[in-house]
Amino acid sequence: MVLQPRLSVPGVEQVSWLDLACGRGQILGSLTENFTDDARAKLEFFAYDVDQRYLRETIATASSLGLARVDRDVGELAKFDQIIDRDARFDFITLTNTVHEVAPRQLAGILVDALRRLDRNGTLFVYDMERIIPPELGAVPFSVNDMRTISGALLAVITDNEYRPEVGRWPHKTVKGWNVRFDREHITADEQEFDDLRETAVDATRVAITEVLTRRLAECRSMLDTLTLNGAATVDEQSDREHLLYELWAITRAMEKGR
Amino acid sequence: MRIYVSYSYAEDQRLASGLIDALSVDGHDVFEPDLSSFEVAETMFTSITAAIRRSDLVIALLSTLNPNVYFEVGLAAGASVPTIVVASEPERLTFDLSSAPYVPLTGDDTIDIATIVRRVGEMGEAQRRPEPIISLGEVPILSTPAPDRVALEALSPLEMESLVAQLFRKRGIAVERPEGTDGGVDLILREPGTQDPQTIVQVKHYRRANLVSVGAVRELLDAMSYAGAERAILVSSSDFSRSARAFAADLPIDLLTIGDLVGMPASGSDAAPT
Repeated sequence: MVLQPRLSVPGVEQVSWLDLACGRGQILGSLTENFTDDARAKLEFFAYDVDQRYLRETIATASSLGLARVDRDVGELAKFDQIIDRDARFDFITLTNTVHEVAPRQLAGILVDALRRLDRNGTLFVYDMERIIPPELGAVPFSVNDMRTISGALLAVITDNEYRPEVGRWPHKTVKGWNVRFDREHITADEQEFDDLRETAVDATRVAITEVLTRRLAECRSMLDTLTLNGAATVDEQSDREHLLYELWAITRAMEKGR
Repeated sequence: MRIYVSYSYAEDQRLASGLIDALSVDGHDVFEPDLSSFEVAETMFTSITAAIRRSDLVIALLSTLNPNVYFEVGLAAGASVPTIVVASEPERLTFDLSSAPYVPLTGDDTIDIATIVRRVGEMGEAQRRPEPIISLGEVPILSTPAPDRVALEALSPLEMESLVAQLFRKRGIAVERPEGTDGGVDLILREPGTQDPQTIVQVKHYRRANLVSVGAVRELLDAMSYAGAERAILVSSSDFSRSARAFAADLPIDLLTIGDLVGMPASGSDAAPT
């Protein structure tokens, strides 16, 4: 866990944590068993989501955990940077099980803004699944290698060094997930440079995302073509047919509307 | 072929009955439990397990997730008997069946039976193809005489990778293991004395009757992108689906069964593939 070592550092009195697109606060579920009362008492938790009902649930859960502070803001994910206090910086920002729901072109801005909101030793933790089961209309789940390409394009603009955090894979029984952890201390751009480079970083990341989507669309079409001609020969291919149709729609929609 | 049809009597008796008739007309020997013929000491369970072990093929009708049918599928897997899975909701099937030959149920018995019988015919042809001969000298990790499909299927994934690596080395191709996390790469090939662009290899260790799906080819394409490789080879102990072959045909990916690899000429010969 990223939080545990941070809370264990002597002299650390508080750790601020922003959970973007918090949903129903599922991420808080493991706090009780993985953190002591003293550790939880150092956490200042900020929940952000577009859904007021989800926020109420998350705040209710967080309020029962003995945290140092619980706060929230409501709004669209792509606009969080305009809604949250401009000067607020966080030790820890999470974006989990959400990337697949984000309009691909908005993802670039969200990542850049989240990195800029980190305290100088802060960490942005992003996690999602490679496949959504059951599939969701319009959702574009990215693979590990997709995220390597996207994060690489982003970092190429905002850091002068070779810092490229590994995108890890989490195998589950029926589907794989991925996670990437960005540590602010390794990114060379300072606050002013971040502001100056924001548009360039967003553009470069969007170009990378478009390249990923273009490649995936071609693969998707080719696979659907072969399955149309040859039929599904295995259980996997039968499932793939459905997922490919969802993927075809989601990517076509995203690219046509410039989403 | 000797065929065992596994089904839920409550849910699929009508379909099973029609299927058994159609298979019998097609010349197959289909096991049907006959209570009146049982000897005094024999039980239904003994009869069924023996029938499965003697079969060349099991057809599992899984319109519902019947535990008895799953049990018989497990028996077939343990006895290395190929299995065709027939179901209507593949996403509800256990993950272990993902690469099994599959026939979707349409709800029309006539269509479904015809499709299953045709699939049985295709699998019969595949089973009649000659097995690769892997001599002890080539594969010291196999402790039983070859050819032995059961021994091959009993290899662990790492042993299968070692087998494939040895088969490439026997053909004069340098083989390396990837460093760190494999990212879907099991082996790396490099022509001796060169630093030429790498070819990555992924090894699939499936039961013979199962098929490598088109999705596996796409995953390898993804792995190529990460590894920065120009070519890739997918080696499997089973065959590839038609869709997998068709998809790979336009990609820098070669699909090889173990038999293809054994029959591949040594590197440097005129017949060696590029």
